[in-house]
Amino acid sequence: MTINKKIILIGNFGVGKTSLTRQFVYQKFSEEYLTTLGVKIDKKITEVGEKIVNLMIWDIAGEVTQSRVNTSYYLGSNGVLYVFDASRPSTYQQIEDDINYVQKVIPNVPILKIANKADLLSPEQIQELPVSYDFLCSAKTGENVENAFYQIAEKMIDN
Amino acid sequence: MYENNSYTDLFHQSHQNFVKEAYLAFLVNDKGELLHSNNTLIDLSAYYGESIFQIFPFLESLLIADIPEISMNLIETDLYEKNIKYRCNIKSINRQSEVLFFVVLQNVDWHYQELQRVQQERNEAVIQKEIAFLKHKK
Repeated sequence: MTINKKIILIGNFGVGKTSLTRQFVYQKFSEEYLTTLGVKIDKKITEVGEKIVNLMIWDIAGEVTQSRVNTSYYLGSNGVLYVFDASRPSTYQQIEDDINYVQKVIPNVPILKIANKADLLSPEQIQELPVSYDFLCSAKTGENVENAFYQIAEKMIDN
Repeated sequence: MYENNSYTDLFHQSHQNFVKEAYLAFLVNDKGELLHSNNTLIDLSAYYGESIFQIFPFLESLLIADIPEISMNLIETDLYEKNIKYRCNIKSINRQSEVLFFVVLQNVDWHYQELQRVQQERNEAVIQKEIAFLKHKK
């Protein structure tokens, strides 16, 4: 039996939400930055344990703060990946406020914090990051991308 | 001299070409089964009685009876391996004991490029400014 789940990717613009989705769904990466307008929807069927999960992935256009995002995009979400660019502090300075806001709009939905662009940081810079995260990823190298999506899928099934 | 009839045909032809053909409208029930459509953009007549989610899977999270109207300005997705961009409006209709949804998808491919260019320039400028600031700080 296939389970349908909706994931939303949110966060500031230019943090790599589209690249993470592209890496996860198509195993591809492009250096070119193309901004997303509105929402870009992809899907991927994946196995989680013995379950087949049809993941609907909503890559939502980045905004400086989540309160500026049309809340219709959040409707029916089962899980959230909050993405920030580990090399740009402005993209994680709002993280706590943003996550509190999202939890009010869609309560009881698992949220993972994704620090993207790990390939741009040295090991020392990674250690000194002043923000907590669940996964340190690189859409460019593919590091941890599959793991992050797999874990949010697991959490959505358990929720 | 203004002659009403001389404009009627032109109006209807233009409406057909530039307005009506740009909207796909359809009615579904609360299970997502397709009841009727205007069959523009794509012909859905073969899917009457079947689940609309096989064609537009994203609708599954949006058919919510408690919300009278949902609007999304821009959805980009693949349909039959073709990337399309559209505006989406969903209105829920209560009819006797039934809950139905009237869905309108408007093709916005034609002005997407312009909007994208403006947004791209703004975002790139902000990102480059921050990167330059961080480099200078080091």
